[in-house]
Amino acid sequence: MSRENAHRTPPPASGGAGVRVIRRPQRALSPSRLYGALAFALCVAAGGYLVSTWSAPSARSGGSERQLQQSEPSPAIARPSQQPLPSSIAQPAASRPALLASENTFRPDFELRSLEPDDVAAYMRPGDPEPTAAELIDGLNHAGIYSGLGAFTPPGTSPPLQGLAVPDDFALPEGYVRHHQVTDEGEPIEPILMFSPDHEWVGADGERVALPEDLVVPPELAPPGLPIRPIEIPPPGG
Amino acid sequence: MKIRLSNTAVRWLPAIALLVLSTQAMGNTLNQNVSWTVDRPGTTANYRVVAYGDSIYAGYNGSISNAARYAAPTVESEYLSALWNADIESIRRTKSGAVASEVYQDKIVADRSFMQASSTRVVTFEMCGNDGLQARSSFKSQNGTCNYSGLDAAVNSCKTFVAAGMDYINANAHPNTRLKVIANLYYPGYNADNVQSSCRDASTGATVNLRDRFLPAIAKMNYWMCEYARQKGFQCADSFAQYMGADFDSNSDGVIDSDALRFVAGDSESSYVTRITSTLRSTLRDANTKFVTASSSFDYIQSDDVHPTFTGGTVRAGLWGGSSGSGAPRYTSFSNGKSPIWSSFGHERMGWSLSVYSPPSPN
Repeated sequence: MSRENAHRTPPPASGGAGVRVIRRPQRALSPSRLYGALAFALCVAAGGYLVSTWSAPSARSGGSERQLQQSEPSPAIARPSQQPLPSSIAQPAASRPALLASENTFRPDFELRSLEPDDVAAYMRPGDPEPTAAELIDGLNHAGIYSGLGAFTPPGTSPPLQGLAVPDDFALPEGYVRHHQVTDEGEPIEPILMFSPDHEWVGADGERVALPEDLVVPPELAPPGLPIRPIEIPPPGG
Repeated sequence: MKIRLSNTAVRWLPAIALLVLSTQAMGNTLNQNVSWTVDRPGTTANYRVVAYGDSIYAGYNGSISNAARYAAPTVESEYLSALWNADIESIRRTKSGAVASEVYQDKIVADRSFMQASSTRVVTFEMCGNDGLQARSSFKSQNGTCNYSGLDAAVNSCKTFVAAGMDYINANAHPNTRLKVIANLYYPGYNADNVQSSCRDASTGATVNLRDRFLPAIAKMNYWMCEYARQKGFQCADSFAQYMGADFDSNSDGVIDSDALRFVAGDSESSYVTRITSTLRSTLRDANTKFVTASSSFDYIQSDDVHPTFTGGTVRAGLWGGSSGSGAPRYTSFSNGKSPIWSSFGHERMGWSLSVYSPPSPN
């Protein structure tokens, strides 16, 4: 049985009156249902808290975008994000918590977090510890959600390859490849030496040489003249 | 590999609990909206590029509060800044995890005001990747007899909302818009999917190769993205060809692999799918090793084996809101229309593939 949740939304011309119908399968009582019941209880309590604290109107930044959005609300889509925002986050940037202010020093205007009900941001409050993407994906999957972000695989699923450094000025012999990688933060990693998948390696006995499955050249198969030095891969998030 | 909840995760369990809310309402997507202006020194004219999409155009990078500054549409904006000698405002309205219907309704329709500004010159969008990811996730979990209907449904939903998105943009983008362009899908996890299913085919009784099943589905989606583009006045940036084929002629057919894989106007669905899944199948490579020459490859995919690599830092986008900002272009001129890093990162490559359709002037 599919784990996928069926998202069913009105087709563009269906006249759905802005109502999104999300049909979800009924499930037998399970840990996730029990968890959901707990969640509901928490939601009721949190709802009271949020209602008591939300008072300021939405104040999206963006100059002309903001004006356009306010003057021309979409007639077809219900916009939960237009409900009042928590007063704690509807403040000038300068008075925000350090987490927000530190990232906003180079841009005084920004857009407030989404409060759309299908957005995970709507379930977080300023000051809540921020989960990593891996934790969020794991949490969704534990709750039986494999759609949306729950369909992503976490960082580290296919980590950068460890291998021998191959300097820019090293002339590659035929059959080798200089492979370039980058961290998830966009920082380049020193290139490594790999075998070309298009080159057939034959041993002295005329038999085809079996290559490592990942095609990364191990020190014992490095070409002559290459200094044997493994690269250093920065730690994730570094 | 199972990732155990860390102490941090335990601390935000109440938030997860709120998020789950039984199975009736839940948060499983993330708005990641960014505005970045490429501020070219000595210029005053300012034009806008509006991009709608999911985590690809968002510049998702395994963070739920930040994203790549130079995601593909912003890379394209940098090219335009040089071409038009102008400042270019790159508006990215994106929702990570959104399926095609959500990109259409929650971004293209709900955020249409962004493309209605008179400064708009380019409107671009991408979608369907999450329809594919979810169908893949669902299929992988199947036991017993294989049910292929989820893959077919993903293809059909993709077709429906790609066409609807183009129609909506055609009807709503400001008349000053000079370019409308869609980016199609590359195949993330091409190597990882080269395994057998847990379920068994109804007719043969045997397990099936996951990649053999997913590749035709992606090819069909990509065909219709480019074919609808042809029919509806859009250009089609062929990410599949740019990511999945080498930039040299590996099979000696006289054509560079990444060119041979491109959609060709006039293709039928059948001829395109056959070309991708059979005729040129041997030239497909996982984008973790994108070969730009026979002796040089680049990893176009982040460590999650899904999203494109990038360079140029990150900006706030996600859990705590979106951001806007500006900065000087990294490159102010482009030899042969290509930046020095055009083929070194996934987003740079996608941004370049958008840029090839840039009009020579903004007016």
